[in-house]
Amino acid sequence: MYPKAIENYFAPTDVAEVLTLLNQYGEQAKLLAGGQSLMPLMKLRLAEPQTIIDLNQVAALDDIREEDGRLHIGALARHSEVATHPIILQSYALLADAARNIGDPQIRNRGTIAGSLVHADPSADYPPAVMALDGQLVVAKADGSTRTVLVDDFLAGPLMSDIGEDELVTRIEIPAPVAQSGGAYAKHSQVAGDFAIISVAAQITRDPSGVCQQASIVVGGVMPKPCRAEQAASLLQGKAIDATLLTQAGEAAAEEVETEDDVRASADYRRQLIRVTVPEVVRQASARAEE
Amino acid sequence: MKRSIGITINGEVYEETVDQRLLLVDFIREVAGLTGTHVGCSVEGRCGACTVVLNGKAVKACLLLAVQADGASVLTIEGLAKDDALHPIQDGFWEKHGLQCGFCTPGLLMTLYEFLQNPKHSDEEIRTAMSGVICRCTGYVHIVEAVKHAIAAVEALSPEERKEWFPV
Repeated sequence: MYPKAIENYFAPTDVAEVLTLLNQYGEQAKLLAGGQSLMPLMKLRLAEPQTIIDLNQVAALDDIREEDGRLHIGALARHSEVATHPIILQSYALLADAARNIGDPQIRNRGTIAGSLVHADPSADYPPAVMALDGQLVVAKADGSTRTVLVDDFLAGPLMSDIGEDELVTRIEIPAPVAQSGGAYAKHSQVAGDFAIISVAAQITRDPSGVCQQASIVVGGVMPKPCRAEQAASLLQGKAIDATLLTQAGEAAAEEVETEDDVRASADYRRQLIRVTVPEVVRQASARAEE
Repeated sequence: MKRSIGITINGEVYEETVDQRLLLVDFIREVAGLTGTHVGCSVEGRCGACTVVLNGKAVKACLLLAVQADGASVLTIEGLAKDDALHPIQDGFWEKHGLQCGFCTPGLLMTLYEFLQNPKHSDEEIRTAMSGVICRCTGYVHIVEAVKHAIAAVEALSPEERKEWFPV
């Protein structure tokens, strides 16, 4: 299996150049970031771009920093960098959990956060994690304008995201969690490093007495895109998190999130996984909030 | 359609005008003639047999275009041993019989090359580090033993020796 012939290959070195090329080649072009999904799609001839715009030489598109109360992650930040970055491990642990769960070491050395979100696989690790953290994407357009879009709206459906042919995601922004917040992410897959059958991301904020102030729970591995378990999250709100409450949250999430049969697992099995995984992940998130 | 590129592989520069769709693994095998880098699954990049070290990072050479590596430095299995001396990672596999058919071995060794630059690792980390290369023969027990043997050998190296065995 080999990619179809590529007419044009460009390796621009700054964002302005990328946008000019996008404007010129638009619909026949594909942006190549880590390439860990795009290359297999090209080999399978499910993607046949005439023009490749390789982003890997673009400077300053991979930095990770905190600024104005937000975490900024450059579009090209590799999974291996997100998984090990001190700021992310310290304050955005669920994101590091998600990054560590993607593929294998070689894939994590190449794959990028924006690439994963644009690809929008409903079973991928980043989408539920970035949703649970209320992340936004900053998108640049060839005319020089930029827009910011909430990840919930950016993810449109299976392998569909809200990105125009003349647009480039330049970074992901995540609001810094308040004190006593913590998050966790876990997934179930058929084999190590595979896409999720079910994944759960949770971000919890507690007060000093251990009462849950705010909770966000997102379930991945469901169609058409990751789903917020809002009833489960609201159950936790205003209460001290104990074993009974955790069980109830798991039940509520299994009830409210719709599951489907596919090649990986049945709808029933997925529901059962949600029932047992939500309590586990919320417990871990809550423990991290206490630290 | 075609593009002139130059890739440094194991310290030697290979220049060629190639199809833009040529995969890095095929540049290594067909242009440079270094057939120690293997092609297993060839589509999804799941098997890891084609793993090489690109600018210091272990990557699957079947998931990169050769044109992307223009100007880059690649280390392959052929670049590990020095003269008659096996690399400490190779020596671990030799001593502990960490292979049977050997097809996945180049990919494993190149993955471990990056991993062992910092040799302190738990058993679980060793297994996680190898999760990107699939071995269909061994059941991994001997491989883990080989890696532990290699870790001990790397830890015993002086800083100068370490630099010599891990140049990139």
